[in-house]
Amino acid sequence: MKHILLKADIILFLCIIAAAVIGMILFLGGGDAKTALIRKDGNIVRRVNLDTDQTFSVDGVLFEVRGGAIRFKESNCPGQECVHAGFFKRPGSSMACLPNRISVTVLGQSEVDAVAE
Amino acid sequence: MATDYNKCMKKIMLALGLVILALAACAPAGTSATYALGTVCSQQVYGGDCGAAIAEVDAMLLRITGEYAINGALTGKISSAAPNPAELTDEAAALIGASLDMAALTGGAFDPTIGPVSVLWDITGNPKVPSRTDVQKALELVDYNNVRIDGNTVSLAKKGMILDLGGIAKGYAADIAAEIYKKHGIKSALLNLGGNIYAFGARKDGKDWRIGIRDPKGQPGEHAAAVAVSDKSVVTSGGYERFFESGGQTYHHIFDPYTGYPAQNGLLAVTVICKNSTMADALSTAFFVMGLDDGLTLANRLDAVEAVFFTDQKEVYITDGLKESIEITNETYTIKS
Amino acid sequence: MRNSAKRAAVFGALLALSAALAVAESMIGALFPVPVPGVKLGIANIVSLFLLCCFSLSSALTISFLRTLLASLFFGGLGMFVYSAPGALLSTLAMYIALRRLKSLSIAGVSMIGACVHNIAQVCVAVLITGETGLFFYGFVLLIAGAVSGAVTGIAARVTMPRIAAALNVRCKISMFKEV
Repeated sequence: MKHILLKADIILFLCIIAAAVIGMILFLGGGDAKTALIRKDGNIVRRVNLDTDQTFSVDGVLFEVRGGAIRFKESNCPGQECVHAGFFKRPGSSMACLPNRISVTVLGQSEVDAVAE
Repeated sequence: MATDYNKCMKKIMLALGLVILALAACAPAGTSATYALGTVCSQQVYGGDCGAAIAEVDAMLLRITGEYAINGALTGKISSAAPNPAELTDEAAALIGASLDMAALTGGAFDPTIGPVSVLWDITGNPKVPSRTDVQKALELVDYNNVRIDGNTVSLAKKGMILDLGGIAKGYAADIAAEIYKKHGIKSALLNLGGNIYAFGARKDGKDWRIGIRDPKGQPGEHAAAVAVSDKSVVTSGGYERFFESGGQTYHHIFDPYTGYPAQNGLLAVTVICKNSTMADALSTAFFVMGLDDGLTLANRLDAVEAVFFTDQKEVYITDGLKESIEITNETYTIKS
Repeated sequence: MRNSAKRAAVFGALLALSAALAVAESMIGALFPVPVPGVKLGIANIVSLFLLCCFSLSSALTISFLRTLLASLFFGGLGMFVYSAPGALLSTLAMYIALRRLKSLSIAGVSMIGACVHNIAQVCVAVLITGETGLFFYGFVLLIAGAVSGAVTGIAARVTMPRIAAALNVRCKISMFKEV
């Protein structure tokens, strides 16, 4: 019985697999990662990748990302409701600091079957 | 003999092909995505004769796209015949009849004769702000009372009148799809015609379909509220869907048939939930034009119709029937009643 | 040379076989919905391979095109056609080039290239139509699926193609069985 799979075939196979795996690793940053949107006055000012722990500020309001969740860490607003709300990680959940007109929304896999738009 | 073997092989392949085709028609589940009605239309179908149902719905969507577009054969035929009557198919007559019923129900807030205004603003092509005189001229041709329908003939009283069925076509197509699903014994299906949702039956696991309502200030796919429904259509009309900017002002595509200008009444979007998708499609446009007070009053008066109104103050007003079942998913919005 | 009646019969049989394989594949595919519409394993490539080896590129392209049309009419609608036609045609072309240029590959390797090109084209069409660039991620997953299914299809082709040739009484110009 002559060979069914030649050496060249096996090399090709391994190359394709390698290319695919590398592609997935490189692309995984933008693809499936959970993101949050920070809005000021209703306009998107920043996209945040929730997979990376970080702290950053937007217009004087301090945000913290930890363990795939985000929260208002510090704010100069009188009521501090935004800070008291704590961490958000549920896709679709959001919170706002009204005096500063800043809001944060968690994106990702929607919990709904479809969206009427 | 070699030829006997050949013949045998051919027969076997043919039989195999037929068996596979027969099985394909009985597939228990299926999905499909088609480009029709000017957008992406997708179906998820379970139970019954899936393959055939999906194919039939796709074919129907393509057909409806061609027949009822504003610059399509049907509207052209009716317009050029004016003021004389034009002959229609049963389906076209039913569709136009339904649009007139909706106009009467909403006191003209939804008006299928708004064609001249839609064409004037050309919002899907090269949108521009028309002059006041042009708008007035177009408005003279807008009045659903000037349409006479008699069996299978329709006539427009004035020359220059144009029927725009765009505000009702998706809903109508969804209703036809529901009939097709019923005919094929489909148990559960989710039809999404570019955002016009029909939740047929309940989900595969028996629970209600969970349908999100677009956050009018969010990105496509982002929802601000969600409802659990089965055997209902969920349709939203919002200024965010199509608009253009000129001279520092924003103009959207939902025109007020009384003014000829985009309806400006503090609403961002209106969602209607109703088993009849044609009604849901027309009513969502009508309620948007009517504004919060009149729209909400009419919505509460209509049986089997529920509605959600989003104001530009990020308030959400709902009809009484939704008080227990709607869920706000974006906490920057507040429910009011 | 073969007369046109026999050619028609041969092509007809091959078209039927290829359509049946494509439809069977769609049916199985419908049970495991993937976010990218129209994606398949590419079993029908066996017939395209056969045509490329024993006939011409034009016959392989024609049969691929017709097969996609048939399969869409029976199962999936014209929407499916728009998604799968570019993939089928591009993968046939890619396999043709591989057969001529990459002589060190056997049928399995050629088939792998066909399957991968088919899947990549599918994802590209889906992104073009839906505008959902996130779908590109699935392209990489499907590359792996293409390599695996291509290898399986290629081995299956290696085994079945001689039988098909015998059944249809066709003699092949290119030796499809690269011996080492």
